[in-house]
Amino acid sequence: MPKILFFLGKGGVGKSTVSSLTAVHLAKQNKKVVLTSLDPAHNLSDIFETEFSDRPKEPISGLRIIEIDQDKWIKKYLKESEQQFSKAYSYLTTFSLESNFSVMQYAPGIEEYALLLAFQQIQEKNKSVDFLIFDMPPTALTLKFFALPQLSLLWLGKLLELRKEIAKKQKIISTLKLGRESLERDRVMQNIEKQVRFWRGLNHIFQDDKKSYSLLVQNPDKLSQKEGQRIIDKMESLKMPELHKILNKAKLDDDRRYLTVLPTDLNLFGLANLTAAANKINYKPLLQKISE
Amino acid sequence: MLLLKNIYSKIKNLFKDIDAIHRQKAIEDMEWEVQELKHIFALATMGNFIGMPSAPLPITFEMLPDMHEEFAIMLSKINTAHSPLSDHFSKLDVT
Repeated sequence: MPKILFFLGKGGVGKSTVSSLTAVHLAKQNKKVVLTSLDPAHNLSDIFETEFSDRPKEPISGLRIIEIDQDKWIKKYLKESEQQFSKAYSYLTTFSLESNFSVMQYAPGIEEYALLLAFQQIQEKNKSVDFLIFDMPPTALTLKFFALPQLSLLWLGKLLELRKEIAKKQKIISTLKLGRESLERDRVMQNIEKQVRFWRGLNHIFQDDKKSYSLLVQNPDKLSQKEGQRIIDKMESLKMPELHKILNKAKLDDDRRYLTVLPTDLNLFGLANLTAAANKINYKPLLQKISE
Repeated sequence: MLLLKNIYSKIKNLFKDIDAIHRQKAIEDMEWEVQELKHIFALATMGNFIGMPSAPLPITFEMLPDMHEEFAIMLSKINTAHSPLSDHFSKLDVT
């Protein structure tokens, strides 16, 4: 099973750069790596000077790169929901489904759900690789991404309690009327139980510190540090494993203007020795330099 | 003797009828209760559609295809929304 690395941080701290450096470094160590951008404002195409899409491309041997099209995932999900709804409620012909569903793409929860579906598919399709690296979106969407499984489990827990209460009373009614329990199964309860399994699976992946690693990229400035602390606090409240901090764009006294410092506890990936010292332009030569 | 047997049989049938009436009333009350619980369940799941805080939309969308009955209950409750107490009073036999 692959190790999963999530690169988080304030917008502009260098998540894409550092995740790209990490991906290249690992690929050059003959590891099989899939690097995915979940950020709607993708940067990987600029960094690697190659156009990427939902279909994986291999710019360097051992490294496949994907850029998720969030809008496409949202539309795909809503289209499937609309089709299921049409089938189930075909008698509601006057109910204008299309116009309602076109508005739904802007509803709360849909963006992060689409990213979670994309994450799950990538995880399912790449079980044999060594590393799955995710360049995460800016803070707000990232935190919603990690919080949605737990929030969903909370709601589903309460809905399941209520449904069990309904099932108990229906059992009594059926026994009084028919002298026995009804053989009809509660499809709504089965649906809730299926969803609980789905969200528990995702939550388990995020909270498993042997499988998932969250790397917080920060810059040596106050705003970045404060937002970093907010991310740490929120992730702690979600019972996520401890974040590993990466300091990017650390300014040095000599000619080297930017430095990326990785924590020593990432030594298990051989990343502790990875440092990048270069100017901020021309990523491709930088990546080649690092990989050498 | 036959007269006593007749009286006994009539009293037994009387109690049977009383029991049946009360059972029927209990079933009706419980069915009403189940309908109310289903309405609450519908609001907790689909409240988003009517401006109430409810479960995240992905949960709602996943469950909607199986929630015909709850959806119908919610729509029918909208029709009596202008006089919410009338339903309760009729249940409590208040005239």
